[in-house]
Amino acid sequence: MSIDAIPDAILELILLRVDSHFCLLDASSTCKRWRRVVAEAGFLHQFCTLHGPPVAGVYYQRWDWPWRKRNIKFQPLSPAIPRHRYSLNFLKSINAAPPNWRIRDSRGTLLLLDLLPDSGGIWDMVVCDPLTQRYKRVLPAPMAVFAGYHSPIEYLVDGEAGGIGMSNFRVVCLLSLNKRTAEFSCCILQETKTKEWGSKVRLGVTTGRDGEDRIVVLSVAGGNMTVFVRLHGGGCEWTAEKTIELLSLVPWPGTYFILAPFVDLNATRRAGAALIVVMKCDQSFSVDIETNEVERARQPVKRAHPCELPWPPTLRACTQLLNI
Amino acid sequence: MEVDKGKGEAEETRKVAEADRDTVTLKSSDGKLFEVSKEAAARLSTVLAGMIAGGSIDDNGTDLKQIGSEALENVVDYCNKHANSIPSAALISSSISFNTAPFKEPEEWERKFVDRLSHDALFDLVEAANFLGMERLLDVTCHKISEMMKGKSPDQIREVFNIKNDYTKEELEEIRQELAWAFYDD
Repeated sequence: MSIDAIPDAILELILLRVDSHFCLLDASSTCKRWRRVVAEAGFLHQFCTLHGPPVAGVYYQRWDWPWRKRNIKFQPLSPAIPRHRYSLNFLKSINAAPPNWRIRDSRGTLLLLDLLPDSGGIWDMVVCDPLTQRYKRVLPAPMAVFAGYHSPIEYLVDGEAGGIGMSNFRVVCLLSLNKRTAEFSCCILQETKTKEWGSKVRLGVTTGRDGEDRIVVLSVAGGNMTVFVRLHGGGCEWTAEKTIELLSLVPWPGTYFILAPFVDLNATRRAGAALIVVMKCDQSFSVDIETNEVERARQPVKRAHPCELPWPPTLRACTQLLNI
Repeated sequence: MEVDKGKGEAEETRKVAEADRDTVTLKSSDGKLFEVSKEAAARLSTVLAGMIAGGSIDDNGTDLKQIGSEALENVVDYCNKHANSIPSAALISSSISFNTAPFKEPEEWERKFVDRLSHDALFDLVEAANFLGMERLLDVTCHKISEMMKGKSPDQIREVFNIKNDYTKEELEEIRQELAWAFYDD
């Protein structure tokens, strides 16, 4: 018996198990039947659910001599990836290119860059899609009221329409804080209890297994971590989903926690990893915000921002005629 | 097992006698007989479990007309090996639907089990596993076949599986163009 005699339903099961997105695309171009199975409605989505999003490569910051000169580098994850298509040179037209700008976060196919106030100008942010070379300035005039605030870190999260794209994204950053609520841009994080956060908090973002983003607020002393999820139909309102007491979960001396400034690429590469990496006394621990499981994490060498490929790809050629 | 009240006494006796046996006999399409542990068969195959529970198991060999003797031998071999190996916790709790559950890595002995098979035997086994509703064996065999494509170009994949390239030159170019903008270098 040859593979040609295997029914489509089993061929589908086999192709779902192919271990990389690139290998799947190669397999889909071997013959018309295989391509038809891959192009069938739902297959590519299901593949993505099982294997996570396809990562084209990672962006990372390199500090070159002289020290103030920042370079943003792209490292493709497969030799097939056309490196030049991921260049950020198109941002030069708005003077948003390195060395003055630094890369802050990535999500889906988008990147978030910002301009540090200390390099002479005002705090400025840009969100861009390297493949389509589209970009958007995030800090228009009204945001000037925040001038002078320093944001230690900014994150990209999905837009209200679900998923992320140039017309559907949100930027989350920690701007100011009163005793009960923290304001993030125009988003309100609701605390269910009237409990006060400590004076020092850190902000993190991860994605739950349901594909929805979670904003995590960690109070540095005592390791109290609150997980926020977007309210259903609530636009920019986020509500506290649960609180995790890290002190009882992380068996390591010390009571001070911070969110790891570096993200382990392996942890971020999977969709819906539901992981957040915290540090305590220079030791990294990854915390599963859904199961409360804690694992010692490897200390990543550099902060890398994975950039995803547009998925699912269009597979139109040679599939229409065969749709029996 | 609850016995149907409407059935005759002889039938009941036969069933009881059968329930006492701890193996079942399976007959391949080419008439060969194989014995397999009843417990393992019922645990690993939804179809065999249904037949055992429904009493449609024949002492003289239950006909499995769709499965050849080589594939059935492998199925029986797998069941018996499975009965002897200590199942891991992951296997016991495998009640989630096949298509949405994250894949479980094959265990070492399962890997060896499929590694020794020829291509033809592997494809026959995958069909048999599908026919008998053996989720775990289907998982292991599909995994093995998908691994054979790892790191290979379309040409190499065609060679491994003996697939005929049914594209014209123009169609191949069209396919390449479609993905080139993001996925492949020019």
